[in-house]
Formats: sequence, C-alpha cells, structure tokens
Amino acid sequence: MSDDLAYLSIAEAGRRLAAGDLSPVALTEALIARAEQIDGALGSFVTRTDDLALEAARTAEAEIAKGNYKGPLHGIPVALKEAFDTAGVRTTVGSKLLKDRVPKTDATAWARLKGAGAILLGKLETTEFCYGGPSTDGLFRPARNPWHADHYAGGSSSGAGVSLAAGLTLGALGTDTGGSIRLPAAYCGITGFMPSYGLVSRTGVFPLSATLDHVGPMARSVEDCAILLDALAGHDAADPGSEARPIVDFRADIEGGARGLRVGLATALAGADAVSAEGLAAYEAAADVFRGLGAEVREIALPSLDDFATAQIVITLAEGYAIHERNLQTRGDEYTYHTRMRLSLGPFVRAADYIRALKLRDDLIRDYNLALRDVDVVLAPGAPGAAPVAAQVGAFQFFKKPLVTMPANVLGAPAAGVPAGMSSDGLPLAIQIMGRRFDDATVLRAAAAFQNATDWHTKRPPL
Amino acid sequence: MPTDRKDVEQTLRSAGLSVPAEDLDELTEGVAILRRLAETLAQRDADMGDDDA
Repeated sequence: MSDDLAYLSIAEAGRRLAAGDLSPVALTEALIARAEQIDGALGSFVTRTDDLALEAARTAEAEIAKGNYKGPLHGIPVALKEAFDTAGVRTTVGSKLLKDRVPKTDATAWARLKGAGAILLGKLETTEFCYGGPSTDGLFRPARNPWHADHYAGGSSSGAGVSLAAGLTLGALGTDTGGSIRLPAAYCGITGFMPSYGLVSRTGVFPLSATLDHVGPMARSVEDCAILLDALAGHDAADPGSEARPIVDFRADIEGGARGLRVGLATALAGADAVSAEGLAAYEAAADVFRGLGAEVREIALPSLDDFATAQIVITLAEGYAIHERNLQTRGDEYTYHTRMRLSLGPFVRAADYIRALKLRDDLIRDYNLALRDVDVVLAPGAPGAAPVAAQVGAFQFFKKPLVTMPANVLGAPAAGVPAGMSSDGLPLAIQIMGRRFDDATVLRAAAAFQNATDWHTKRPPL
Repeated sequence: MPTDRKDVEQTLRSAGLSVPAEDLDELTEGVAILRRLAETLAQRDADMGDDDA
C-alpha cells in the first residue's frame, strides 16, 4: 500500500469516491492490510472490525454506484476511541472491569457518522476510563507513539492519535475532558478538534466528568475535522449537556483565510514553566505566521493557567469519583495503578471544594468572554511540549504541572490542536486555537489558514 | 484535609476504599496537592467575600 492511499485526506478520498475513481472496498482493504502489517507494534487498535468494515464498504460501493451518494463521509473508513459504544462490538473503555462488555446500541456520535456513510475500521486504545495512563498494567498496553516508541502518545485518546499518524485510518473520534483529544494530536503530529460544550452528543460515550467531557473529531487536517464535525454536530435530547443550536456548515468559511482576523495571544497560559522552550518557540512562530497572513495579533489578558487547572482538577475528581465510587470500593484492585491513584483522591474532595470550583469556573468564563470582546480567536501553546518519555509520566503529573489544554474544557470553548513544529528530538510540537463557545467555525477557519500556510501537518513518522 | 499518611489511610477506609501500603506515600502526595487547590479556592472565596463586604 502506498503512503498516498494510507495518508489520503477525507476530503480527497471523498472526492475520488464520489467520482467513482476510488472504491470504498479497495480503500478499506488497503487500510486493513496496513494495520495487519504495522499495528502489531503500535497497538493503536484494540479491536478491529475487518469483516464488518468490508461489508459496509461493499454496501457503500453499491450505493454510490446506484447514485445514492450520501456526502463526503460516504465510504470513508474511520475508527473510534474505545469509549464509544458500538452495538455488538466490545467496548471496554480500556478497563479490566468492562473487559466483556458488548453494548446493544451505538453512541449517538457514531450513529451520526454511520448515517453519513462512514465505515467502522475498529476501536482504538484509550487510557483506562479516559483518566488513566500511560499504564502497563491495564487491559491493553498503551498505543506507541509512532515518532518514538518510548515517548507517550498522549492521552486519553491515544489510539486515535497513533492510528492517524501511522496512516491506519482517515478519521477518528476522541473524547476530551482536560486535553484528551488535543494532547494525543500534539504528541502524534495530527489534528484534533474539541468542539464547543453542547455541540456534539455524548450519549453512549463513557463519562468521566459530565460538565467537562467533550466528544470531537481527530484527523490529519482541519478540513477533515470540519467534515466530520458537519456530521457530528446537532442537538441530542438524551444528552443533558447538549444544546439546540442553528445548523452550521463548518466547511463553508474554512478557506476564508486569516486576513483581518483578530488573534489574541494567550501568553499567560504558557507561564509558570507550563510549556517547554521549544513549545513556546513554536507558539511564537505561529503568531508570526498569523501576522504574515494579515491577521491582527495582540496580547490579551486571561486568567492564569493555575486558576483553570484548579477548577478542572477539582471538578473532574468530584464528578469522576461519583461515577467510580462503587467499583473502587468493591473492585479497586482491577483498576490500573494510575487510574486508581487519581480517582482515590475523590473522597478528599469536599462539597464546598466542588461548589467553589464551579463558582471559579463561572468567573473564568466571564473573564474569558470579556477578553474575547477584542479578538476573534485565541492562540495558545498546544501542549506542555513534545511528547515526554512514557515511563516518566507519573500518577499526578498533570496535577503538579497543569496542562495548557485544560482551560478550553473549563470554558466549554472550541479548541483546535494543530501541528506547529518539530522538537530537536524529532517529535511533533503543536499550537491550540481557541474561540468563543459555539463559534467553532471561526476557530476552524483560523486553524485552516494556519495549515494552508505551513506544512507541519504533512510530516509523517518514520515507519 | 489530611496530608499525613495515616490520616489519608483512615479517610480512605472511611470511604470504603483501600490502597496498598506501598502506594500510600504517593497518594499522600496527591492529597497534599489537592489540599493546596482546596485552600486556594477557599482563600479566593474569602477574598471575594471581603470585596462584597
């Protein structure tokens, strides 16, 4: 299989499938063959649904041939983080506690992609319950970063980052509570998009923190994320966090460029050693790219990263512990070390702490919205730096060193994670572009403008 | 909020949880971080109360 097919974009594959120049069956067969060849070492898939995928590909091929083309996802192979329910396909959320769990229904997000004609290649490794990792004592071993096997692939949507970087799928779905879409995107050199809170349904996705969890697309370009988001977005009455909003075409303005766009620099979020020198250099270089594109770039005042992290950590612990308390009491030894250690802080969070964290969140949202009166989007570093060595990531690493990805979860704001450089060790670096809640289209436009002006997202790991 | 190893163990036991003895030191470190966050939240609340007054 040539790299051209493995690394085909959803947009280009869709054009070729629609024109009859590419067969969904041939594309699916090629990706299955590539997974067979290289994923044994990477471990990005925990379950491959080869037979189901080929059956769906044959159906798509027949539908397209009859003129029943459904749109840009028809016949496109994708894969899902192991946290998404898939009817009849095992869904473990990466835990021994759920090792035999087979859902009866599909997660709404997957049902929407399937309805748009997407093909399921399989389920992708997640750190346990979307909160653990990187753990070697879990149901599955951690997916390996294709840029360097000893370095963390990011979590918790690890398998999604790895499979996309390795050319094993054209798109994927991840979840994000504190950075779980954007960190694997950053560490693996792919593109991840966390939509506004309430834009994409979470029904049928295993929760960690009901008020911070987001579902979003991961791909190799901003345009591909927008194509996936077009199918994903929409109200779902079954998700209490879902909001009824006007339907938006997220691709409509994606080539609108950055001229005249007002870009705020979130340097405050990069302070206090939260970001490496190389990560900061990539962020500053990205600001220059936007200046070169004709954007108005200026510093803006935002609350400190520590404030965002305090809210994120306390809320996640309180809400996550409520989900896991019973299992921790009765089956605690079946959790991985990292997950059990983090969740075991739950009994130490008092009701007053949780309420104060919610109040802090309200204040942070107010301050953010005030800051965004003068800009359209916010540019920030995408990660603490290049991927760390996996064995050095401790149980409380992101408690000790807050993640620059946490603010967007606290704000419920859209955030794109975009490749923006390479470290001296040959590992990807990234930026984030954040926006106003429910102004996802402007974030996608800005991120696409950056990708059109740079080639970092086209870099491939040495496989 | 306890940051002493024994107090941490006692709080866990009261919640019906158990952690292997060899993991208690690291968990106690996590509880200490959490305590600092809780103190920050409480101080912030107090400061805002002062502002309101």
